[in-house]
Amino acid sequence: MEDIRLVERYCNGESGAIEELVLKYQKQVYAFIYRIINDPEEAKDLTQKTFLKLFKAIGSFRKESSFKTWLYQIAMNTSLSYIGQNRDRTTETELQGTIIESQAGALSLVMEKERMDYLKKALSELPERQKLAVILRAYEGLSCKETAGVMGCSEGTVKAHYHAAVKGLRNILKERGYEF
Amino acid sequence: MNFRHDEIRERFPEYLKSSLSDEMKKAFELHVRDCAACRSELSIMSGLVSIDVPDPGNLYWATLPRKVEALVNGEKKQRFPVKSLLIKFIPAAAAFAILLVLLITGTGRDGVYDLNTSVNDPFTVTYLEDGDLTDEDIYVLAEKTAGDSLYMEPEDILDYSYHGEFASLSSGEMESLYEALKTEQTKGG
Repeated sequence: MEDIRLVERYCNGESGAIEELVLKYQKQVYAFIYRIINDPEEAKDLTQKTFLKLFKAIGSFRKESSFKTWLYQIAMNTSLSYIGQNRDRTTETELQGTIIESQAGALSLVMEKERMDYLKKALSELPERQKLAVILRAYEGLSCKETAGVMGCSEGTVKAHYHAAVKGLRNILKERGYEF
Repeated sequence: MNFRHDEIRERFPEYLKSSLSDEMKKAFELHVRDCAACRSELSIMSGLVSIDVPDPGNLYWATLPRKVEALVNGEKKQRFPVKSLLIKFIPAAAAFAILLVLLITGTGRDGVYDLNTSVNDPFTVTYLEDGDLTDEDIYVLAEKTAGDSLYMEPEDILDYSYHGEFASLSSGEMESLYEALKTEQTKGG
């Protein structure tokens, strides 16, 4: 309700509502985008782009779904279109980052970090819809219904994507000698 | 509290966010302890959640809202208001079109007189004599002028112009008027 009031305030010409909405959601949107694209610098730009798209299209917000669901939907589409345009570059940046960071740490930390990096990499290797289902459910804590709203599919499809993703992650990690 | 396997799997996000009630949390952990599939899934999920997201720093968080606000307001000003312009100008354009139609249909003359061009052309003919018009020309002229709203009968002209005054002058008076105008080298009539 608070979000809807802020949207209405913005639509009535109160530009201060923009600041309030961005302040409230900027960290969530940034983290969500970063988990999809794995590039902190691009995640910063895409976060800004997401909010610009949001305010440009705010007139089409029908208030049937929650504001948060709508915002995640825009962030997801912005990230996916970025991935589509830079498919090769993303993988390269990610691998370079892993190697440089691994050289810097102590052995035990490196091993733990390596385990997490494999998990992160395994996540990035999942098909896009499965990855989104995991990110929205596990990281963002959205319910199946909310996740379905963001992804534009049924709850059953979300569940199917989510369970296939967990199974996929387990298999990828098993192949590399990690048991979870 | 007993949970089915599927119900437990639906509650992973809540468990990881520590948003389950104590009673639910206890039942959840009891199930996970005995269920290998849930244990494995929970392990993967908690591993994913513990992956850090790099913090862009306070400067980024502090400036982003104002930056977005400035860009949104800037874009708003730049956007050309096509819709509102259309709405504003549709009534004016319609009124103009109606006016144009009225002007064309209301004041237009019907057709062109089909007369000898040497008679109609003011640059080639200085005055008209009865002999310049054939009987056929006079008939066509009479037919055409009958339906012309701007056409005035000769008696009307006498009523509204100086021609009437000239008509009432005698030949002697006309002669002296002509002489007076000629003396002053004034053209007119």
